[in-house]
Amino acid sequence: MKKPFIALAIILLSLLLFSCELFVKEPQAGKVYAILVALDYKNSYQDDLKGTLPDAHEQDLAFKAVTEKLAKSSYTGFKFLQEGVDVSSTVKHLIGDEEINAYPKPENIEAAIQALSKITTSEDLIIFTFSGHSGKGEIALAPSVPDSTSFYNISDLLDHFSSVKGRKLIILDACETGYGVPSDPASSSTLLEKAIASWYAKYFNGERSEKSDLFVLTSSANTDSYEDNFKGKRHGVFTYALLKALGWNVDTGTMSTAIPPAAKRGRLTVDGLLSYIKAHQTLKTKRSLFKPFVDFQHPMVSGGALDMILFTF
Amino acid sequence: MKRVAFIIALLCVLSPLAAHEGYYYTLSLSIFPYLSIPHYADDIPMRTAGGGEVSIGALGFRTGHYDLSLELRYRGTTASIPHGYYRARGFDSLGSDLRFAYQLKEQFALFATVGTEINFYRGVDNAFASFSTAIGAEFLLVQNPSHRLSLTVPITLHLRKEITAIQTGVGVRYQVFPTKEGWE
Repeated sequence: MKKPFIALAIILLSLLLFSCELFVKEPQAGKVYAILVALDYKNSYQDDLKGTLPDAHEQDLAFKAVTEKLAKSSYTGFKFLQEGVDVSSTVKHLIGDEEINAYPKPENIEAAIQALSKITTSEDLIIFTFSGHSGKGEIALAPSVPDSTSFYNISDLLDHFSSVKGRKLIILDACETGYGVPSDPASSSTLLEKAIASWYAKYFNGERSEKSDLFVLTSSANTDSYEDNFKGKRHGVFTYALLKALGWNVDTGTMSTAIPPAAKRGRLTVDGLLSYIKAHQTLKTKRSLFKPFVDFQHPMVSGGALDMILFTF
Repeated sequence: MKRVAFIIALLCVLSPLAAHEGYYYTLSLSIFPYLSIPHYADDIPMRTAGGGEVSIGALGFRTGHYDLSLELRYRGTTASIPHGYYRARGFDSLGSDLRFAYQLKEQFALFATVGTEINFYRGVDNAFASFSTAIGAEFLLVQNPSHRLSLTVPITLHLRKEITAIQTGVGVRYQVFPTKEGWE
């Protein structure tokens, strides 16, 4: 009986030695840039939203704190806010060498992404957040004329990020944003594609997989997304849970923990954020038999074999 | 697909009614390192995870040197060791295998399996279909006419669309022969 055990030990040992993670040097984390877009829609025909602007302000503070205090890296945030009835803004951002107006109409957002593409490196992390209205894969950006709106396709937004070096995390807190999550060539969302036959069809469809450096994290799949009052402060339900996941205390405006609660073993990943949000958001992620008429929203993330690491502490 | 799963489940439930000599139930457990080799460009040639597997079979038949069974399988695979900016997601799999074994000596047999499974990435509501095939050796540990306990050393290929993964580990396989005649 000794020979089989020796053979087994040799096989296991040789396979463990193949563990590339132990021998290949890891890349260093770079800088963090964020574009934070929020609209209150008081200048458009869309319903007004009160929690969107606080969402952007606090996300900016939370990501800055996580990056600078915990991950010991450099953070630069650019807020693109539509506030009140004006269809313009006097605020301007200097991104690299380019001055970009901070009014969140499509042209300015595209210009900001284009400017970012000239200054980022493959080690950097780029975060884009959107708080506002959307539907069926389009987000509602700021209008150029009063009482109108500018629908902007999420896939076009993601296409613009393809020229930006680094890891990209796109966070969308708006209705039906799951439709904007790119379809993975090898796996299917169980929220949007429920038929097992379609999962097998995907296996054989010939579409090739590539490692994506862009992840999309959304507040809902194919349903509405909500905002609520949290101790007198208005926020998106999803964003409020996201802020908690980062360790941000909305009540005091400070980091409440040494390591974000969504982090595991010193690493904060996109899946870690999603899991924390699903477990801690104030709305259920689905209806139940006993509460069939409650509001619910199910956050969603890009599919595929890999999870992206955002911060290492 | 649901129809196929239903037929397999029905066979597993009804087949004991027709039990006769050589018919058996089985429970197999194994643990393994899981080495995933991506078909896309990655920072490292393969990512390392671990996992465990449980198979139950209510539809097995053994005669002479031959052994054939249809088994239902759960496989749990952990997330990989983080490296760089990524790690491979962990997932849970539910599948079915057809297993064939040939006994070369009294205490030694070779086996092969083919199967398919659906896999659910943990926590992210994403699923994919895949296929698996394995070969391995089986070493008899103890037996009597109605029970057999074996040590198994399988090498499994998990054929995913964007990844081919190698699992090699160690397991045990317990067979119960419910009829009076046992397996002899």
